[in-house]
Amino acid sequence: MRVQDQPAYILHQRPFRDTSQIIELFSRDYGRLSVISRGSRSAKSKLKSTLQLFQPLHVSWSGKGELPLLTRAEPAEYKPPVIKSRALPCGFYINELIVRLLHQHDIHEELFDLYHNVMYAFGNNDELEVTLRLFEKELLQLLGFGLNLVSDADSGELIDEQSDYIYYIEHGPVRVTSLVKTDQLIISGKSLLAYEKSVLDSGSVRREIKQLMRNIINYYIGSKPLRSRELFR
Amino acid sequence: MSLSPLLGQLIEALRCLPGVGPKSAQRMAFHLLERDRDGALKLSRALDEAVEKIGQCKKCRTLSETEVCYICNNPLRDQGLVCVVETPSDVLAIEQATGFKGLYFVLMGHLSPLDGIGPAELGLDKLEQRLQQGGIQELILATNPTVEGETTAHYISQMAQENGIRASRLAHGIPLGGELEYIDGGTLAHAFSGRLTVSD
Repeated sequence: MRVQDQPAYILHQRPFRDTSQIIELFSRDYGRLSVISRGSRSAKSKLKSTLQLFQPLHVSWSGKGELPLLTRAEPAEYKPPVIKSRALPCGFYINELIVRLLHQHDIHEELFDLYHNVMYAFGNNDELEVTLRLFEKELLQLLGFGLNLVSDADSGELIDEQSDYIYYIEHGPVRVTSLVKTDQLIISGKSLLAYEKSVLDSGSVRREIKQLMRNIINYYIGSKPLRSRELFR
Repeated sequence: MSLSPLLGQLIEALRCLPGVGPKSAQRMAFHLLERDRDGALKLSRALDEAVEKIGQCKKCRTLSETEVCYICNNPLRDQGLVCVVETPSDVLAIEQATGFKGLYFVLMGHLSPLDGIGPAELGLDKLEQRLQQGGIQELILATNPTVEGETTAHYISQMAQENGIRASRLAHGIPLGGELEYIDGGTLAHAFSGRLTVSD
């Protein structure tokens, strides 16, 4: 199979043999896949500056089987996002989420567009936390694990801004009755509704939603923790 | 042709070197045995001794056969300047090319969460202890200009900031003798935004 000039980002790369590397790509039309890039780690390689994370690329590869050969990689013709300082750990976090949650060869054009937009959002503003939370919400939605942020999963009533809820994963929010004693995370109706509307402007809402999403994402990724969380100081 | 077991073993062993495939391993083995047996013995002794004795410096993590390496031990070096690099060969490169007279800290890699390399694997707890002990005025972040290297530098710069220590980063620029036309866009953009005022 020969693929030409496919829009893609690099999620991860690791050295292979002396001068080659194995590159984990996230491509628009072929999903996540690994390719081998021959000679791109040698001192003379011109590809080194191109093959960097968080840069929109056009990539060509050819070959059958598990590990096709990268035949060309060029930066996209438009201005790349500038991911620096505090946005760098966020980028690694998103890459790790994609690697952990998206199967290889699952084609996901919408997720690719989401990823692309998030990279530019990181490059443009300093609302990194909000960008991350909105990405997490949409990511779960696109993968079929969408959250219920509008109604009580037991009673079916609409979420009430004044009430408190416990969010049961794969079920939804359930209103806390005054007598329940629990060590589970309690989320205010206000935070759930704010997250539904994608307006995370108060500190307390952000804190609650961050904790909620941490629990939910931990559930979906399984027991192996996300290492990129260690990059946030 | 089938090889004798010992010869086969030697050829196989030589292939662990970077850039050595089956053909060159064979050439090396025959060269050592046919023409340079003294050299071969010397090589085997040096290898044996090096692997046996060389460990990591307790202070800067570079390769060293003494507990604290000769750079860290040198009282004439500026104890207030610490240059953070990814590998021991980066120490050598800086030593040879610059007149740097401070100390080093060698990470032995860079942050790469998907490879399971986090701050602990790079000994950053050790570096933080050094920062807390005081006496360091400036941390020079000389990790590679890759996304992983930048991320590592950013992480360490935050650590320095929390401890009230100045952190600086190596400049990005156009290589000596380079031509603008052929330089990649990223390097040129960095060099452009990091331009300096011309002075006498």
